[in-house]
Amino acid sequence: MIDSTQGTHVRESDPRSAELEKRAAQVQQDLAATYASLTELAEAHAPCFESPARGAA
Amino acid sequence: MESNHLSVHEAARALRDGKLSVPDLLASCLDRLDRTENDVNAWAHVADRSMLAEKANRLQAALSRSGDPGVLYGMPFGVKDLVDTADLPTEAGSEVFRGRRPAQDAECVRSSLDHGGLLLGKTRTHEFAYGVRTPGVANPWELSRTAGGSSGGSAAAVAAGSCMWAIGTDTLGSVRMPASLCGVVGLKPTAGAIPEQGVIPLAWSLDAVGVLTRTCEDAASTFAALRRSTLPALARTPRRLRVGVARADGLGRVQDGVLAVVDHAARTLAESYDVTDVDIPLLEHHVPVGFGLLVPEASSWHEPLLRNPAPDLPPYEQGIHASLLAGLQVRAVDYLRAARARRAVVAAFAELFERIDVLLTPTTPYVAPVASEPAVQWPDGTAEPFETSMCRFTACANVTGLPAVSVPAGLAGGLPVGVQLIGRAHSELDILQVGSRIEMRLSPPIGGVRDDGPSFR
Repeated sequence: MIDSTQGTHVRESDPRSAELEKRAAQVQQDLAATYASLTELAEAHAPCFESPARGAA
Repeated sequence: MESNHLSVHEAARALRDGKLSVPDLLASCLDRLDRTENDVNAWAHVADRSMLAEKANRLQAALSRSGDPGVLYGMPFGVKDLVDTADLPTEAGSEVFRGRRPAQDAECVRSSLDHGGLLLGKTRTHEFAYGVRTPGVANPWELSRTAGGSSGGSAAAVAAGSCMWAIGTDTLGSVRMPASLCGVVGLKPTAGAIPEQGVIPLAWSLDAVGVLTRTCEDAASTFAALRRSTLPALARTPRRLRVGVARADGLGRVQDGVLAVVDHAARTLAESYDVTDVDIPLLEHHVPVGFGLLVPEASSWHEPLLRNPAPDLPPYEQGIHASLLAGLQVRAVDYLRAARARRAVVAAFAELFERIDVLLTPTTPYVAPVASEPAVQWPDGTAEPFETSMCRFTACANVTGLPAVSVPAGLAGGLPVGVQLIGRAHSELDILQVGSRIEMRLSPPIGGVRDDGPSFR
């Protein structure tokens, strides 16, 4: 179940939990596809923490 | 025209000239609220009426001593229920925050009150602003349709005439989208231009406080009143602006009526500005970058509530709860992948704005959808989720931090269509100046006070 080891309030006995778990898993799946779609664009550009000073040097 | 349908500037002039009083303006807004609220449902909380009347009388008495008190003076305004107010609950549209009473006003509310504004009440929002169709809020133009979101209550209240202007927040388009669907002006300023202190965040790196008004002139004045005083003074650019119009064939699926309004706006602007066709850079990546940042950032803020809920804590709405839980699982490298892609979008827009001063796009790909529809249905038989399609053209301004405004520019099928103008950082006056050339004052068709018809200003 989603994050049960980390104490979020998803309870297995709660009938809502199964549906919530299913929906959260779907969001995770959609997010994985979202991040994957950004790989090429991200890798084609400068590292995130590039210093402006680097360009000047 | 009733005084609640004047622009802020028109009402301010009438107050100054003694043709209108603050108590009469308040009464007009409250009367309009009483006549529309059962249908529109824009307000989460309305201030105590005797206290409002007392404040209005006090402001009126001081008016004669104030000289020129500014355009916000005596104006009844609404505040999105995501923004803290000391005198009214701030529940973020959520059972989780039911009954929450902040100790003090958000800085933007404080600024509005310091300028003599009358806080009429709190406007409805999607729960924690996590959505694009504010539940329960009807579009004043056609009650079966959504007002959009997540500042749906603010947009519907301004459109219905129950307040003179309103504060909203915008994370991927939450001021501009409802403004477009409800036929009002919605300004999302440059990131950080209006202080966010006292505003419950959705996604800190994308959020902006914005304003919803009836005219671009009103948006300029309300923005000026709310902005950080440390920013450079607002000034109009005297030179002839270069306007880039987003090529229609690069926009993806957009309703024909929306494209026609954008085309008409472009032709209007060509009479005053240098207009060229441009492509929106990296358009297909704006929404993925936006959600790639938004989801984990939202979960980060909600983490304490998710991990340690009070025993009697009411639940989040299930769809939002699911998204918040999913966001807790996002890997740091994936969040950073979105951050790196964001840099690419920022760089591409910087390059574009070397060639143009203002970018014209549709605000949303479609007019206000019927509220009960689960997804937008395109003529080719495909369906697209509202959450990822409605913000297709607005997300870029949050990803880049650039200012953007949605301006009502026409009708399609009898419903309002907004066009979006995006500018360089801190060029709010430029985009509002361009917007004022194409804005169309629209009136809501409910309650029997519709004007004879829309007219160009």
